Amino acid sequence: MTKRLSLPDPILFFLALATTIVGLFLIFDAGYARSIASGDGPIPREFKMQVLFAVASLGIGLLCARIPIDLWKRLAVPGFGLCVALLLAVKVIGVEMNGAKRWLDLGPFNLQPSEFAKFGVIAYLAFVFCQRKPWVERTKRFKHWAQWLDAVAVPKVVRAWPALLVLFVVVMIEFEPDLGTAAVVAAVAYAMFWLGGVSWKSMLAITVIGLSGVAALTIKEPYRVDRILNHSQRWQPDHVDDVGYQTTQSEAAMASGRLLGVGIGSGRAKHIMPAATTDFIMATVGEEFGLLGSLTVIGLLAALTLRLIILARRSPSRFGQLILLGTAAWFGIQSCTNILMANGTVPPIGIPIPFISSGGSSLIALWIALGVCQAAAVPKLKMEEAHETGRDRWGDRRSRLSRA
Amino acid sequence: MPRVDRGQVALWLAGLGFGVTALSQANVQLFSSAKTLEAAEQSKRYEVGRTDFAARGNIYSADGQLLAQNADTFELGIQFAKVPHSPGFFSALAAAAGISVSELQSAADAGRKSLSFRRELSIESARQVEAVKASWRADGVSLHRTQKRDYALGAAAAGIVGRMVEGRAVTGLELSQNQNLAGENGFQKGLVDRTGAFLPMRMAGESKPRRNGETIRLTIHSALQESASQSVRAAVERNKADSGVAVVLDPKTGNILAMAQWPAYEEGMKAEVARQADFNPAIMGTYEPGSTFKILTLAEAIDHGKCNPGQHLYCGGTLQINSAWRIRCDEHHGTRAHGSVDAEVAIAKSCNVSAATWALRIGYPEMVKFLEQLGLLEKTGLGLPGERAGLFNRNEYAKPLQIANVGFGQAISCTPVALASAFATLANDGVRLSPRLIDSVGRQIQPPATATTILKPESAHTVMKLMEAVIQSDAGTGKGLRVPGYRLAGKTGTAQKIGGEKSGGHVSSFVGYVPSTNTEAVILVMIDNPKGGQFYGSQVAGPVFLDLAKTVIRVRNIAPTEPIRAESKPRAQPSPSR
Repeated sequence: MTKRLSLPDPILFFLALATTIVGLFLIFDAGYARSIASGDGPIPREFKMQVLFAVASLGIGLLCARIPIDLWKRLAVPGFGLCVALLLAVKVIGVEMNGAKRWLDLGPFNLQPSEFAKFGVIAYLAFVFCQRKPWVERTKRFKHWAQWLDAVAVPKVVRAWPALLVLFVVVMIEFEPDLGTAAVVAAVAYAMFWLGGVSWKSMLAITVIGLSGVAALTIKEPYRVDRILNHSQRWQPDHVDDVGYQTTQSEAAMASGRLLGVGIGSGRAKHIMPAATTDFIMATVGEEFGLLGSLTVIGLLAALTLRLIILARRSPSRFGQLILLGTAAWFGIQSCTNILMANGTVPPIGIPIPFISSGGSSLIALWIALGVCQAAAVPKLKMEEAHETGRDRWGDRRSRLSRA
Repeated sequence: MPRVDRGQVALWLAGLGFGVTALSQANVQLFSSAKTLEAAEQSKRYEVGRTDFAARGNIYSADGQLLAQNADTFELGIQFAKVPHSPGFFSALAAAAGISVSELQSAADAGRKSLSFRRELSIESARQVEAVKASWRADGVSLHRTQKRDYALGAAAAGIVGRMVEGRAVTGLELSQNQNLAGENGFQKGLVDRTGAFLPMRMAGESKPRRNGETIRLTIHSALQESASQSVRAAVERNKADSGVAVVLDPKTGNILAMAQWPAYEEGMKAEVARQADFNPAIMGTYEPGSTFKILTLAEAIDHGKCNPGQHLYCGGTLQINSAWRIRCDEHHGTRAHGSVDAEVAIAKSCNVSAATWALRIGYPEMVKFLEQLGLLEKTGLGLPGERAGLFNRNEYAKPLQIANVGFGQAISCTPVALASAFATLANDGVRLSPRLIDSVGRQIQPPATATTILKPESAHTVMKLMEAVIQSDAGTGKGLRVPGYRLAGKTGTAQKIGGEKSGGHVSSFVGYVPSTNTEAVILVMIDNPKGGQFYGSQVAGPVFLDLAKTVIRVRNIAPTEPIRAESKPRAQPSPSR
């Protein structure tokens, strides 16, 4: 039994498990008020769904952990292809809710492919970068522009091809529309480029292209300009019930929580905030459990993220390293952005907090990523054992015999 | 460029990111917490207090008629940013609120931000608006509640119930019982969602339930009150009098069954007129009782053995007191002298000389004590604002003249209610009961009337018997005021007001008992300064009494006291009395 359950890195597993359980508890706490108010009884529907998804995702995660990392490496590109296919399916047969087309109807629940696309992009880029060779600068001058085309331009475009694919995914998600998820995918991809070893010059180019893309997307939907411009004015009477509503309510809730919180169940934000169990679940955490509660959640997520980076530094395979670093970037970026958004430091964009916010697709995607990370995180000891000389006595003996 | 270990940098970056996040969280939750909360309080978006208006208590008559009732109204307001701009919604809202669709539509088209209607909506209308609001999710529709009162009897009970101006009690029970009627507003703390809707929070110590105002039940009988009001109004208008008042009292309980006045406040009166109409003569006005008072003097005289009802007195028209002053009887048929009169005739003919003689025989101290016992000199304590005590000058130099005048109801003035209560003593076996107007406040029954025994029962019975003659005898001053089948008793009064014959005018009054034995109601009618040519009590106040007597018989279901026989038609012109 113990052997079957043994995992490459139990610390990572238990950190994630603890965060998931804390999340379940917080979803119940933040969700019951609205559930009662709408006459659905004291147990919120989000909580029931999340428990089912937690059990399912735990199973899927453990299953993923058993698949060796080399197999994952071969699955990376098909997996990414599947994600793109699902995103395309959303475009065609997706379910529309609140003016956004983000889900596939799977009967008892809806699947949100963009959540899986986050990890799909990480795996794909990990695959791309793990076998990438550094660009060799030609010192020789070209005699003809066709030569230059052959030796520089075309290879460069080929090298940039993965970036274009990722850009395509980002744009597709943005046009669902889902700015939050698109931004997360873009940011994670950006981190992957850098971690994968893209040169500083290319990074600069990507940054410029990325920023102009952000500017274009912002202008595309005028309400975003509004949100960003009015963020500092959110307490003004004109905005407090409009663009500033969620942020001001969340801020006020957190402010009233102070160090120790107003006490479990006594929070007010959850009664009136539309995204009480999702994007703004931290409002209830801060209000009811105070700064200590918020820091506990931040600490859990930080520990998870840092653990992934530490594991990456030990990982023997480049692919595994990049998977671990990419996943860390995903967790870290999404956690920090969500909290900074909930406490009013940055303007609100719809980004949930990993493991804590309710959302089945997100939880499954997170646990798949964790499973692959487990596979990538081969324990140090095992690695050394494998390379120890004279360990494989059987082989040695045979070779000696044959030589003799 | 030196090679950077990007994994190492990633570790630092992650640590930095979470560090910054934790610090910003600490900033929001601790360091700028007070500032944020202040901003939230100022914008009224974290915690707001809301007053939960207590409903004002209703006032009922003894027979369950609502005299004062809450009739709250609602004012409609629309914030166009938060309502659907569809013609369907506008027409539904217009239908519910009773406003025009075009007004709504044009305001919306003109880009108005908000619109409020001064028209008041009834509660039914408000409920319909609420339904429209809910079904269209129109959060921008608001209803503002205004407190109003509805007075079912209007002017008939205005003097008792009083009125309110812009939610503030100004007169009557509304004013004096304001504490009980108003109740206490509740207070709720809660928060406002993004539509501005209020969400009350159940948290200990932060909300106080509202306490609705108490229901007040009066001793007033609504039908009697209305009848009294109509009769008094008719009498005042017919006789071009300044004012009139009628008080109906149950002598067995002291309960006031009706207390009507004219002029009285009517809905929509102008402020100056209203202020005059707010004057309730039954409790705020003091009048000399006049001749009606003679019966009380007689009762006291009989009680003290100073007068034998059968004994004859000679009335020569005048009575000389101490050679300095002279009391006179009124002149009629060319002479003031009533001649030799016994008590019955003296009362029936309203002889001043006899009454003065009785009073003088009783003597000053006993007479003053009698006035005090009758409660004429103090406030009756009905619980109405502005009540006055009676007036009697205890430092009068000419005490014998004063007391002789008191004998026939002058040199003393009191409120009609106090006087009616004094007269009720005679119908209650000589036990005086303090008058009651408020029967109960909420569940609290008000204490019963305090009883003071003033006269021996026989004395009271004797006087009651004598008063029957005023109506039932053909020589009586009130012989025109008969109700077939019922023996009634009464006494007319026509007091000249202080200031002499020319300027003062008269107060015409009548006190009556329905019926004369086992009296169910004592009725006092006083009409101030009739200028229509007639001023005798029987002519001016009598008809009011007659109306009320009939109503009392009807509403109290009094069985006839004697077989109805063919009445000899009384003379059209009752003989005057003074």
